[in-house]
Amino acid sequence: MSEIRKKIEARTQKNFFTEMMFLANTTGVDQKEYIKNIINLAELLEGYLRQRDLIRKVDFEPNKYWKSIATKKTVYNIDGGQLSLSIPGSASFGIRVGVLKNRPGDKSDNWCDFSESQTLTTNLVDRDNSHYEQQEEEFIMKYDKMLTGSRMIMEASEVIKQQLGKGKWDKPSTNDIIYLHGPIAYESTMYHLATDEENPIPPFKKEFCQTLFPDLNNVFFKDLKKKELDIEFRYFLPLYSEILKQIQASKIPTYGVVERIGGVVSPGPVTNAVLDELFHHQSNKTFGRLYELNWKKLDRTWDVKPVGTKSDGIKIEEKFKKRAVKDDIIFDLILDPGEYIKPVQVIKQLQKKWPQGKYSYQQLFTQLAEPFSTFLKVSEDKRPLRIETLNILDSYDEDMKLTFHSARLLPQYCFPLGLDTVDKLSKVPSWLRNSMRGNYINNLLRKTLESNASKQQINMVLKSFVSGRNWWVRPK
Amino acid sequence: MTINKWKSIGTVVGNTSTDTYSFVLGQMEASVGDIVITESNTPTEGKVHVWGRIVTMERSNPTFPNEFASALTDANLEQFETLGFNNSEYLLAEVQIMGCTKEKDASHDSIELMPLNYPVKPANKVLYPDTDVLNKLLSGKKEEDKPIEIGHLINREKVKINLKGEALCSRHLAVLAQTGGGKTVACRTILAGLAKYGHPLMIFDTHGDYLGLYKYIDNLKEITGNKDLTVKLLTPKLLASPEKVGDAISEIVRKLGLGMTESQVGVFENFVKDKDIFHAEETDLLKHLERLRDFINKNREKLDPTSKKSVNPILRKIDIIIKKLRGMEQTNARLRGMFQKKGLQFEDMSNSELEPHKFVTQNQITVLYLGGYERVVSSTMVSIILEDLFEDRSSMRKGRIQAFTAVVEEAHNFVPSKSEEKNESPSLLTIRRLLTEGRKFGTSVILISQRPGRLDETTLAQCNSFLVLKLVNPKDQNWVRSVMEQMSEQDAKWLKAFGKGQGYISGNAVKFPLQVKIKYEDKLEWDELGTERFIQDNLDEWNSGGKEDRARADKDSKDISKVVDKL
Ligand SMILES: Nc1ncnc2c1ncn2[C@@H]1O[C@H](COP(=O)(O)OP(=O)(O)OP(=O)(O)O)[C@@H](O)[C@H]1O
Ligand SMILES: [Mg+2]
Repeated sequence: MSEIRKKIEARTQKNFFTEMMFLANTTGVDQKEYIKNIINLAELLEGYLRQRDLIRKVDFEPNKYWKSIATKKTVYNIDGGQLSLSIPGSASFGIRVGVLKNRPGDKSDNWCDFSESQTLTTNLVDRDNSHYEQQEEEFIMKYDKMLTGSRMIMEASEVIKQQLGKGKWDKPSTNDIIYLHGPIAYESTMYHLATDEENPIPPFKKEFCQTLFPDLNNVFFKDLKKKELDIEFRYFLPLYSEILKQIQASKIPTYGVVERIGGVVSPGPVTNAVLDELFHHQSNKTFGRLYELNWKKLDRTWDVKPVGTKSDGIKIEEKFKKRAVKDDIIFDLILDPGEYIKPVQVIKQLQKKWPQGKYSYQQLFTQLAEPFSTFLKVSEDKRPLRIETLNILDSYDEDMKLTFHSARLLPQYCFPLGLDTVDKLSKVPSWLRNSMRGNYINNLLRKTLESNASKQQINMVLKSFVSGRNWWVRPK
Repeated sequence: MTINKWKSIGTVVGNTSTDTYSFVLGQMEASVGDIVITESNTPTEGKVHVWGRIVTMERSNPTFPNEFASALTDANLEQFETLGFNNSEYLLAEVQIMGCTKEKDASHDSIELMPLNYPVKPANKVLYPDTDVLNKLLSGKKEEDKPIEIGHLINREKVKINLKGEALCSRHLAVLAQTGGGKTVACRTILAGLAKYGHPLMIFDTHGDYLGLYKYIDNLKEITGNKDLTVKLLTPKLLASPEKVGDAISEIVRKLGLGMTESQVGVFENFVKDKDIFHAEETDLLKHLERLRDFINKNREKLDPTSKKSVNPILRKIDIIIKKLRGMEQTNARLRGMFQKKGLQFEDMSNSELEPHKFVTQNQITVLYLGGYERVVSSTMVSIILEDLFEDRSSMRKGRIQAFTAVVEEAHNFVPSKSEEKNESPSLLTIRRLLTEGRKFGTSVILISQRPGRLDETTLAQCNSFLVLKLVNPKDQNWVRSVMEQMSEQDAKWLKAFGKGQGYISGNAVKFPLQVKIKYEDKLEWDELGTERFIQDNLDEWNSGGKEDRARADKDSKDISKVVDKL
């Protein structure tokens, strides 16, 4: 048995494989058969990737590495925290975006600094307080999409602010690095459309949009912005597309790091791209990655000679489709600690999901920024991280070195320490959450009591909120 | 005085009630046990200051997980060479609300709290009151209460804590802590406080911890400012009037584990019923016992055949008791001899029934030194004395003894819980009665114990004040909490963390339950006593002739065997 095969087999014994078994079970495949197939697929792909030198490696030399970058690099970490207060009578939430800046090796106060760069509190059902425009007749309330969409757009806009040095600190240099907690680009139509192709989520208010852009003179989608933040521009899709374009335009290395890979699509988007890059098997006529790349006038990423024939590629892709093998599982088997694959471009904004009808923004579609992804395996026991960027720069391998060593600062969790820290700093602590909720309830109750509400109404309010030893329910 | 004068140290967060709230501290500007203030609006009183005591504190730094620390160690790096954040540590404190005052009350001489009837507002500032205002609130210093300064608020040396002497002398106090926690020190501080007023004190001292009061009487006079103080040391003696002899003997027989069969008991009781055996003026129990023995011996022939069989076992038991009591008497005498060499003088104990004033007199501290006596016997003695004193005091006749305070060390031996003892200890009933009825007559008791869990619960429930110092045993902690209504779960958790002399005090001798540091009067501690240095003693003895003695003895024995073995 080959070394590679032995290694892969050993990895299938790990804990998370039970989770995979569950997946296999639900697709009704024999488990042994399933494992055997995955091992085969992994072995096959790993072989081709290594032959073509598409797997790169960072050596783990923490002391040497950190000393080598001492006082030479500034690391920015961005993350948003959210607080949702979805209770009857209110659709409130709060968002704050925090940035942690580190200058490793700097003994002065400059070593670290935190900036609570953006905050938003809103009540969607309160016309004055909400950050969405509200026209009575057509207002559509989609609490979850609005909360997540607002956070995403604020986080992404924070990336531009930091790239341009328009936050708390000066402009970074191209030797510095910016990390975002989460994908660098989301599939955006989900947060644009409320229900069907026809109805978008309402536009944001002008004041909110103004906070998103440090520089409104330099926009990409100029025709949308005709009349200074024209309402057409203030919907999620154009705003977000514009922000991603601006992020892409920067020469400051910028990465999104994703820890938990969701979705059940098989092959996963990165595997799919890798297969197409290896086998050149997809067609630009039928729907798929190559078709999307064509639409956007983009090329395949890797310049390698194809493996086998197109039909080999199609066969392998079929196997993946049948086997439910997610991205992180296949790359976990392929990669050794410290290794990552050469990044490939992955399509997030799919043509078939793009909105139709009134708010279709067709003219945007061909110019979108699409991310390049890789998987980086940090330790033997953890599934690899997905790392995305909108722009592959010369510093890419150097940046992976930093990412890898940052993640190894948390040997068990294996997630970049700076991002883990900013995540904790931006999160709304639970005691604050409780007190906000408590305050809200008390106010609501007071209002109810003052409003000559019937006893029944008051009781209902009490019952729905008050638990435990809240002072409101004490006997007089 | 205005609220602006107080430093802001944190912000109220989370759910609040009329009993508790939590706040986040910026820096380490307060600690557990501290008193803090926050402002609040109430519907009835308007703006008030809410006073509370910090009961717990949690410190956390969410951004410095353990695995990060280990990665840094492994790579031989310091945090600043890598990534992270160093300012995210925060402290969350939980406060138990004591009550509130109107804002203007802070300028009064003494501050009295009202109950809070409306919860504190989240997001309010939390303030750190100055020493002056705290002293006004906490000191409990009112001349008519006869204050006794016992120490200061934990971590705030300038905030003095006073016990109400009057409350202490009309009710009872329990001092509980594991061994070495500072019970005796605390008790001495309290006694010195009472001695300032000349209040009569009766101490039952099992280890000689209070003999230093005699030795350092001059220091005591100086500390208390009471020039008329005297300390009287008593030699214990088992005394019993002829009417009580029978009961006392049966009690001791039983307690010493010399149980008699039913027929033996019958015969024995027939004998002791005959009061003529005992001299009416004799009070020494040992003498009574000897007379009883002689009497039984003389009259055994008059008994019927079945009763005769019991005589020998009874005599044997009486002999054992006599021997034991003699033995204890001798041990006590030897121990006293040691102290006498160091200048202590003991007096013979009087009959507490006939001469209670010898025990209880204004400006007198009486110490009965019980060293060497087994607990059964000492508890019998204590119960007899206390009973007599109580009888006299409660008789209400003219010339009865004054109100007094008794100190019982090792209280678990005198008032043991049911589970500890099958039969009730003789002193249990007496002390229980004293505690229940005592307060009508001003006979108060200070119970001291390092095994609170072994104390009789009914008795302890009669205590109205508690001083609990360090307690590590969780059983004892739980038990203490179950008898002390005012002690919260968080307070109980702190007991194990207390240092020497730090404790929690509650009950009606203080205004509020508080964490205190007890004042330590080292001028009253006789340190030749407590510090046992057996290793050094051995060395001293060995080097000052012990070695030669041993060698000589060995040589002698060899010589002897040389001769004797050949015989
Ligand atoms: N308030 C105090 N301040 C400073 N030191 C103290 C204090 N209380 C006690 N100590 C120290 O602890 C020692 C032991 O105290 P103490 O004899 O009162 O303990 P205890 O609880 O009575 O112990 P035991 O159960 O052995 O009788 C003292 O000798 C003294 O050194
Ligand atoms: Mg002691």
